Amino acid sequence: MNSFQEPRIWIRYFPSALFLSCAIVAAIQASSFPDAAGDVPGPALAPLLFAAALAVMGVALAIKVWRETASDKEVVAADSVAAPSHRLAVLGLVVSLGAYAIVMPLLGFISTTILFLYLCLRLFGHGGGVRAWAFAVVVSYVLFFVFSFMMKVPLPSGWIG
Amino acid sequence: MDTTVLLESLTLLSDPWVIVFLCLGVLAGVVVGAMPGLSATLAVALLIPFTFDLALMPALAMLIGVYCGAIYGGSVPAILFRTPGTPASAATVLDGFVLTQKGECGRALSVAAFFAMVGGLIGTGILMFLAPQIAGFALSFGPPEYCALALFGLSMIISVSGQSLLKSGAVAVFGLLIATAGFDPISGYPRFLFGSVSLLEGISFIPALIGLFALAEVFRAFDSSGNPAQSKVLGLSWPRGADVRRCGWTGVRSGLMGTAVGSTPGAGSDIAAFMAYSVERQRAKKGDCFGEGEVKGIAAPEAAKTASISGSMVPLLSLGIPGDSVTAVMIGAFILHGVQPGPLLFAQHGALAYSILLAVLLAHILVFLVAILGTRFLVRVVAFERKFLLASITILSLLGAFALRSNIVDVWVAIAFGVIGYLLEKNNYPVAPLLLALILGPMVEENLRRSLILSDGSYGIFVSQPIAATIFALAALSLVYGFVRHWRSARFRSLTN
Repeated sequence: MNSFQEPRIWIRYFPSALFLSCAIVAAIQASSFPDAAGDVPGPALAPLLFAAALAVMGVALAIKVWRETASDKEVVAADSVAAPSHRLAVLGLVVSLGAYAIVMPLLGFISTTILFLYLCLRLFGHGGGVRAWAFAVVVSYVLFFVFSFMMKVPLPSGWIG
Repeated sequence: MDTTVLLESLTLLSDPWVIVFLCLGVLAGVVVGAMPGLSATLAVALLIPFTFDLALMPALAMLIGVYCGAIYGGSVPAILFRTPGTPASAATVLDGFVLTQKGECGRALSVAAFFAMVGGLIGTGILMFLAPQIAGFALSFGPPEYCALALFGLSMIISVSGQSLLKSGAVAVFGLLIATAGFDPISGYPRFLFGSVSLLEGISFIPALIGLFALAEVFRAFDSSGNPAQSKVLGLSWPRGADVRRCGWTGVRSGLMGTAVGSTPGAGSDIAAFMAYSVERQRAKKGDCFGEGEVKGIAAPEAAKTASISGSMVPLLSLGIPGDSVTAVMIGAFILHGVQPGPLLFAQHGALAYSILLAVLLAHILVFLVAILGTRFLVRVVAFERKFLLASITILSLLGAFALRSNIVDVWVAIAFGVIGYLLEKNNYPVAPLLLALILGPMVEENLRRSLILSDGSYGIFVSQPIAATIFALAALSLVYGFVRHWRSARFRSLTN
């Protein structure tokens, strides 16, 4: 298996792994929920019911992917796997989004949004330059005006603003 | 309809701010819908935050305008650039773009706009008659019936979404499990908080839907191409009398068909449009040239897709069950503004319910006017550089999630759902069942538990109540239908391979 195929397999197993892990965590947590009085089911009923169904479906989906992969029955369509450069761009955007969520309350809305928008444009393939900076500044101030003054949403002012 | 209720609803609608925000909603919807790759669901999801600070009726009017506008807006790039703005406009491409190539794009756009309005008016007329009747019937429902109804709504969307029943079902159950986070609806016991008090009220579905539909769309954009090619030809006029006469019955038939398809939970505007197109093609007379620039080939899908908007509002307003992803987002917005769609809406807030219906009616007329007057502007919008558009959607998504409660946790929820939605769709998992499960989950659990309390823990209550048993049987039937549909399409794929 070459290095290009590894993430492909990982991505194909992602949903079943997500479902199974969520089902297990939910079942462990729900088993400690208190019982209701008498024959009436308590707060654990629905989570346990859904976790059990999700675990069964997660296993079934994992088996399905494994069988398809093993027998090469299903050829992965070109659009189901992003090219390495696309994967890096998606990863870059996810990291930028996370960084924005951490930094925005500290530095303030306007400064963080200007930097974030410029970074976004570079990730989407824009060459940068004055046009990109102008777009980032104008959009940040317009959004600040709309949300802060018109919609009365308290946006963080942070250390810089 | 009671005259007093009608007068009250007209009074509610005649507020100038309601009209202003309805117009703004229609404009915004048409603009977003006209941008290739941006769906009506995304349009509504993206614009919900702008209604947070509005009064109830202007906010609802704006969202209705966005919904109706976005469904039509998709036809503009479909006709001009052979790039449907929304999936519902894909059928319009077949004859619409051929007319553009012949230099008659003005004629194609005017026919599309006119019959979109015709379909919308037919659908809303039926909605105004049908929704109160169904709501009146549903007033007798108790917890077992509501539990069955919510599961029926889920089963319908599972059966028609994606390419695999197992995948759709797993996504729906995943959503149901996530919906159990927060306070237990019966005893108030806090569940799955993971140390965060922000989760006490559960996972907020507005950030979740923004992540699933807006951020995931941005991630997907890395895999798609850039801007559509520009059309050199643009002339716009009012629809010709000859075209209106030629397509008159086509519009009426397709409007009726679109309403019926739209009112079936799970079947959306895209199915309605293609169904109407294929029916009209099968009925083609001598002289009809479908696929070669036939105006009936534009009128049929346009009338059907806008009629399906009103159709989809039937289960939404009368039963509180959203039928597809757009109405799932709409119900979220309604609840956010303190309106709980369902049987009690017509019984307790009749004026509000009818003013919503009248707003839908007015929105269809406004869409026609915007389409006739604003297409030159729309063409420029469609040509807006995609990189700037994607950056704008990204920041609007983050800000929209944050604005709900001014809580950064909601931004994290949006990012998490964006990543999950993107990876699920990469593996051909539909995300609409996840959103619907998040919305219907509390309804399923609360009514399941209440039913069991009523029956002292016996599950027999779900089969001993005739209405509940019938709805459960329908849910099972829809899953069987979904299984057969998926099996047949898989068989067809393997045969063609």
